Amino acid sequence: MSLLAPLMLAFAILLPILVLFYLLKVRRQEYVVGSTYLWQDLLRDIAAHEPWQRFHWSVLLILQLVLVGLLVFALARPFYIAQAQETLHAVIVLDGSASMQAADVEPSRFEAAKAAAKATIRDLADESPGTVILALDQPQVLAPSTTDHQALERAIDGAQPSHAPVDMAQALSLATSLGSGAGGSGGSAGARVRVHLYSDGAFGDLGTFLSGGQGEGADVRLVQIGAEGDNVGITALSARPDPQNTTRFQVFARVRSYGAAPVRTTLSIVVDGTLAESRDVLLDADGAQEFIFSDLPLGGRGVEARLAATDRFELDNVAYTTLDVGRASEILLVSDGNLFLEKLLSLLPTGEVSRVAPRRYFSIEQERYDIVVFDGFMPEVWPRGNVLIFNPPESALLTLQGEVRRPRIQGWEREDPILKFVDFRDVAIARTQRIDPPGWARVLVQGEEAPLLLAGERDGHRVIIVPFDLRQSNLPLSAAFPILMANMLGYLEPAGQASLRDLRPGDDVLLAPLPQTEELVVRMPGGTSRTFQTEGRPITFSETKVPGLYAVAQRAAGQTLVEEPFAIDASNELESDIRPRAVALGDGRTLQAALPTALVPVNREFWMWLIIPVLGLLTLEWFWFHRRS
Amino acid sequence: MADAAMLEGAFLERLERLALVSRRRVSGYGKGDRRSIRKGTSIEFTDYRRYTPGDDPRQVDWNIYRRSGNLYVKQFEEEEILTAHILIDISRSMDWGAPSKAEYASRLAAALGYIILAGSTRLVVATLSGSTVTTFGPAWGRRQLAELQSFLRRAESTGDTDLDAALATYARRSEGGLAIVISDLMTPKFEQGMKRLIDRRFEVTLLHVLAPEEVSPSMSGDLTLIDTETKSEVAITLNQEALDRYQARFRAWTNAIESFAARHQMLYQRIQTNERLEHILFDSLRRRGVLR
Repeated sequence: MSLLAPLMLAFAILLPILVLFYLLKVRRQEYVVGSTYLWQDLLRDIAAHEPWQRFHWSVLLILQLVLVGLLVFALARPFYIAQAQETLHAVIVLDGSASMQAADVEPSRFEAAKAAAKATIRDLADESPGTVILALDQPQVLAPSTTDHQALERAIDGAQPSHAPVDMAQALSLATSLGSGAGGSGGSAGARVRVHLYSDGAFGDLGTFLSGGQGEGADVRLVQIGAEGDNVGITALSARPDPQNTTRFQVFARVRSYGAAPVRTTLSIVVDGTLAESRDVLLDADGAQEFIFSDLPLGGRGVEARLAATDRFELDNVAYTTLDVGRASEILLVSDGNLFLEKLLSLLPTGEVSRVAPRRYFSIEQERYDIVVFDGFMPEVWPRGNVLIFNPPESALLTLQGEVRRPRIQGWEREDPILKFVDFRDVAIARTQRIDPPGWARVLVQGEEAPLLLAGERDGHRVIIVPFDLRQSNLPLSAAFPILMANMLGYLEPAGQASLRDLRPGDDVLLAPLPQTEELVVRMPGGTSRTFQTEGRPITFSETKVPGLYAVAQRAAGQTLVEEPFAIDASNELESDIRPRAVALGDGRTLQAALPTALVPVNREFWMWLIIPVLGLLTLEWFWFHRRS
Repeated sequence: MADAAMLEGAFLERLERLALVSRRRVSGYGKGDRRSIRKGTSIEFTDYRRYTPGDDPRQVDWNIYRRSGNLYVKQFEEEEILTAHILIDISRSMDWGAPSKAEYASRLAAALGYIILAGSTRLVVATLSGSTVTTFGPAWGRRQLAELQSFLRRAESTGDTDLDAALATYARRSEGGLAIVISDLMTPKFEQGMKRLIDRRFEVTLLHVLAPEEVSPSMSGDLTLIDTETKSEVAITLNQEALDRYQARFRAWTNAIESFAARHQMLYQRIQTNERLEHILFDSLRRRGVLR
């Protein structure tokens, strides 16, 4: 045992000072009494005029001497030398990728990783801080830096793996950066960071993150999880229109084996719950086979591909997709006749086009149209759908400030999706309306005295304004016009139509309601459903962690207007390859496996244990003092 | 001793209903001093003795002189004139408390003095200070009250009283009677003086006046107690333990005084200065048999 701050022993001078206090006579208050006759016998101290009194031991003095002695000793920071874990900031990184759900170790790789991580926490030196990070597509900090090891273990217990690949480089980047920061609540500012990575290694490439990159020199130890990696899985599933017959669909599936032995199994395609077709799968060692299913039932929507194989990784034995019948957008053209527009709209594959003369606009049910194109006409109220306006007249909805003749084009937003691949250099315009740009609109093409193309989102509805008559310019004759129209209609097309394809677990799904939809009901694979009040705005649906077939129903007045399926599919070549492997560092080296942390002699201070007797003595002293009085 | 000795008229009237009780006959001189009241009553013949010059010629038994030619005077057992002595300790220790014990003692003495004056008893009041004794009286009759009060007012607490010496001095020059001693007895030496009074055939009543703070002290902490009388100091830490010990000491002390009084047939009454004077006079002292 030795002292870290022996100079503090100088405070031992307090001990004789304390005794001195006892030798000093108490300063007493004077009190006149009629006679001290009766008090004489009670006389305990010596005569009052002496400044010192005879020293005599008292329990209080002894208690106080021991108290001061202990405090001085504690101040000197006594320590003993013990063999212990080095004080490190242990950053636990749990691989939350889909492959960690493999059951080659009981009960699963992820659970094994959690157990191993908890064992690491328990081995930590008491004062070592720890942090728990779950590597997902975005790393999640489950427990910020703390020396509360129980909190760390609780965080580990609560971790759940995902069904998707993870961005391990990002997780490690976060983990290794913790040391350079100001530390956390655990007072870990000074502790060296050691990253413990619990992974099967099946997360793809780290790149050069740890070798020459940002994480160069970081202390990252891999705790390899997983025993064996033989696996057969559906690594791809997609549907596409049949090139021979556009009313039918083909489903493409790829099955792959990751194992040393040939595998024989069956691949079944289930459409809307009904088995459509089964085929034998015969795979060589480490081989793949691709299948195209063409003879699918008409009108089917949700497709589930299922492998009969029973292996240690269940997740990739099933895959999902949808036959994207799609719902063509309904486009309403309000025009007295515009050849350019009518021709082009009918050529573009966006949707069904109906034309109506402006005078009949109010007599039709314009609510059911997704896109309304106004040509030389403006209503007094906005329609429910998205709007494309050509050559608007003065109306309550738009403020015009006269006409501009031969406006020169000054510039345009080349990066905007609406103007993608569109070149305005050769476009000439005879005259245009000068529009006061509304607050919600941005100017995409700026003319000399007036904006020449505006777009924006008003109350959740998209609006594009072309302020000139197409016939008063050479735009319809230019090569840019079809591209511009396609871009504009693509922008105006209800978002949902495009967003329900190629969804992975965890993706946000943008659900666009039809103009007349009141509520959206999403049915999830487990059978549960979520209902959203749309109020005319798109809904972002995020509960897509579980792979499977989902369906979104658009409802109004208690009626289902339309129901569309969408598939969350987890099939992934990378995740199906669950073979545990070393983590390549990109420079020929691999990530070092974790070694048992060596014990090092550490100075164990124990002043905090002195506080307990100090508190006890204080209590005793207080009790003793009050017992006397 | 301030105006403490003042008594109100209404109170005086009430006091007249009280009278001092004498338990036994005390021989005394001064027969005929109160002839106006006692004339012709309760005179019993007891003996004869030879006439000596100076005897009252009216007491000569002329019948014997006719028969024998010798002059004899008749001796009577007299309903003697009772003299009540009020002895007040005015040592410094009495000049303490609110009201001070001396003030209280003075009012008590005035009230008792009035009862005595009104009750056809001779009154002598003495203040004891140091070993000196200052007396008032003998006096009788209500009209002496004003004199008594001014005497009491003049009395000054001085120095420490040697109660033994003062009482002995008083006993030596008086001839018995009823003695009411008012004191706080804060001295170890009073018993000899009391015994001197008893020896001189005094019928002694001891009125022990104490301040409430002396009965149960209310102060606490580290104190230096200063004696008003001796100026001596006592350093003491007044905690519960010390107070408990004081209480024990106080009980032992008062018990000792009471048993001393009982042993010598003295009447003893302890009085606290926060008690109402009326209560003392009309209740405590009547019950004790000092007054009736």
